[in-house]
Amino acid sequence: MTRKAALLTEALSHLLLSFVCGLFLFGSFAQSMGNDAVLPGTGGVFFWILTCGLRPFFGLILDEYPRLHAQTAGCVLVGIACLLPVAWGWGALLTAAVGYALFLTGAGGESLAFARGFFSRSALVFAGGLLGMSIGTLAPLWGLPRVIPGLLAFLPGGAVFFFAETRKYPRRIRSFRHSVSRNLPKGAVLGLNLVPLLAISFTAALIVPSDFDGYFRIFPALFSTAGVVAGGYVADRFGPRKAAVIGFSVALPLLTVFTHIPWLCCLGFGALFVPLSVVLGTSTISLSTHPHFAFGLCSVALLVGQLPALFGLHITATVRILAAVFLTVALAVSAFLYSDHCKLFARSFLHRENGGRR
Amino acid sequence: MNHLIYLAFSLAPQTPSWILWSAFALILVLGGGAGVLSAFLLRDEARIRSKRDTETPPRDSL
Repeated sequence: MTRKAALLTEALSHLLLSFVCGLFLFGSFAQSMGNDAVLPGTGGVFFWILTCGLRPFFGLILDEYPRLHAQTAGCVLVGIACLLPVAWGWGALLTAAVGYALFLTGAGGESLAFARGFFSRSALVFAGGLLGMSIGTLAPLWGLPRVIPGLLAFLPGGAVFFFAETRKYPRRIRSFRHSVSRNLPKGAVLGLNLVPLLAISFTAALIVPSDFDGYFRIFPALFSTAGVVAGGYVADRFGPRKAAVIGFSVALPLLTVFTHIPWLCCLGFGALFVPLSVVLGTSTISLSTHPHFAFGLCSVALLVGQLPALFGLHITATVRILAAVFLTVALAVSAFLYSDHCKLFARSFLHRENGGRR
Repeated sequence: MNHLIYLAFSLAPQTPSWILWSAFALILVLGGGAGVLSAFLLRDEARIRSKRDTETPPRDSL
């Protein structure tokens, strides 16, 4: 199986596993907490903290031992968590969080390692999570039996075991090295690269489209997913700087001025997530021998950006101004840091490696 | 991502403060650990790069 097909398998597996995690959190875990008003939310927040926060540590292990079947193990753990008895609510939550973190670290690092300079390839793998989780959170509307998510989790596990996981890693990931325009120290590149990521997560967590209930709750995630995928292709076609600058420039007015119009707000979400694949690809420049860790570090930055929302900051005029300032800073950093040479490099890389076929 | 945040929105006003503080401490520990690790890895990469640069002879000398 080609690497492109393997990445597609990982993308679909990510979508399905995120869906299962959403089903688990809002379905069986919420049921296991009974009628308590606070505990399901607490569980959701701790799940998210663990699943993002553990990724750099798992990433370090996977970079040292790439032969581990992390993605398969992650799917199996999520499946077990879904099948555990109701009384094991918190134990199941911990198992699911560890499993989801393992899967994502494996898939994220692998997609970066084998992207070969194409932002669209890694974007395809990352994009599925937002949509899958959103559809999964509609579980209470369907009343599915508990066993369904458990069985569904084993499907992506089998798929990645047979079709995607690889043992032959490149020693250094150098395919994104032309996405940075300046000759800066690696630490500065890493730090500056996290600024757009913090702006994305801060804004995405705080700006909530109003009047979207029931199935309409999927739309922000749908637009975000489309934004990530489109961002990858725009960055490949026109260069990472143009993709990031266009994304932030469109998102800035839509997510700060037009938040009262839900559809414009959704469009803003799409634009906001356009630079995501550029940020993730560029993170491998500083940590070229540790793609899994680089992916994990980006996940922690996403979590840190969401801190104000996690601790109850609501959307107000001040928050809109803060978001506008943050997005403007991210726009300036993107214009300063990224270059538009990546496209040319990716083409030459392909020409050499694949005989010119994409 | 947003749906978990919606949950957090409903969670924050009613949650006992010790839960919020323990969540915050968990983020600090995990984020701080990741930061320290990345500093070590950056230092390692710089060391490997400088070693490679000193070991590789200039093109003229070949």
